[in-house]
Amino acid sequence: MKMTETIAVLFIFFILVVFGIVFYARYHKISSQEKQDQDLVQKAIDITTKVLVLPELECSQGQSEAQKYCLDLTKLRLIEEKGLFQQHLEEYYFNLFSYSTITVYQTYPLGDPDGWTIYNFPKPGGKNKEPTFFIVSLRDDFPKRSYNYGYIKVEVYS
Amino acid sequence: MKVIPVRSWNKKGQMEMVGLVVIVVLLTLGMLFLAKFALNRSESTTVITRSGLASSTVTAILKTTVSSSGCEGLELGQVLLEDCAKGKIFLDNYDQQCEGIANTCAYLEEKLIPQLLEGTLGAWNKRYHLITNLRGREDLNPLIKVSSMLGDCVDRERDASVPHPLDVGLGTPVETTLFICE
Repeated sequence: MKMTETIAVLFIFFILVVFGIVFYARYHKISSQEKQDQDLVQKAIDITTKVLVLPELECSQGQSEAQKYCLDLTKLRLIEEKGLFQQHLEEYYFNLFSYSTITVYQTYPLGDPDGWTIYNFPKPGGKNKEPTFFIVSLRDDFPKRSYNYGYIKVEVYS
Repeated sequence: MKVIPVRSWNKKGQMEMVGLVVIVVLLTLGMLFLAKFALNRSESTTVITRSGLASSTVTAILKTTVSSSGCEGLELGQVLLEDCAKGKIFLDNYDQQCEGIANTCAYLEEKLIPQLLEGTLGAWNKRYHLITNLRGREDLNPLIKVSSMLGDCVDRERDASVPHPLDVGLGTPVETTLFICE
């Protein structure tokens, strides 16, 4: 009788322990996935911030401080056309943007739906992709200075 | 009086039950503790993104050069908002006429600003509302109010841009604020 009771108690105890372990494993899996997603979003924000202050893209105005949240379309077009970021990928831009794709779109007045892809270096075999959007002004100096409305899409890979 | 003896095996059984209850209580507490941490996610990243996005959006909107017929080349923030504020003060007397609409506030509120915001924030399924006020003139406010197709952010946890004051030559600034929520 005593033996049976002890076995029953141990049995219930181990069931509870197994239940706890299963619960913790699931929690750990979900939380690590969330952490990974958050890290990706943070990485995308960091890259967006770098793009916004990059002298190669920002709306400079002589000796004055560059305009906030503004990209120069003349520079943007040239960078895409010549593939400048891709040309100097290993020596400079990979350290800034890592495995990511950066595209700029113009929505007003309506621009090219494909946008300007200025940097494209997806991670080989990368499983996850996290897009982040940020709205900017696009300064166009031709034929006359105007400020268009658009956004940057930064996709980071992991 | 008859005394009923307490059997030793009965006492032992009770002790075991108490032990089991203690284990169950401890495990339950452990699970609640884990669940609390699992549900209590840090939302700092989202908040940083949303407030930054709100500020950049308002800056970009106010700087936009209009390409609509009747007001090509005019700056939305400086020229059209000024015309909207002056028009409201001077009894719907507006200088600009964009796309044949004589009321600049109505043009901004019903056409241009929704077009800009729905093409970006709306397309990303973000809920938002934008308000433009003339400081110190509550009788005229809001000059402009635009909400997303999903509704506004009045009763929700939201992030706002810093108010963008714009001097439109009326002695009191026009302030535009954008609220973004999920």
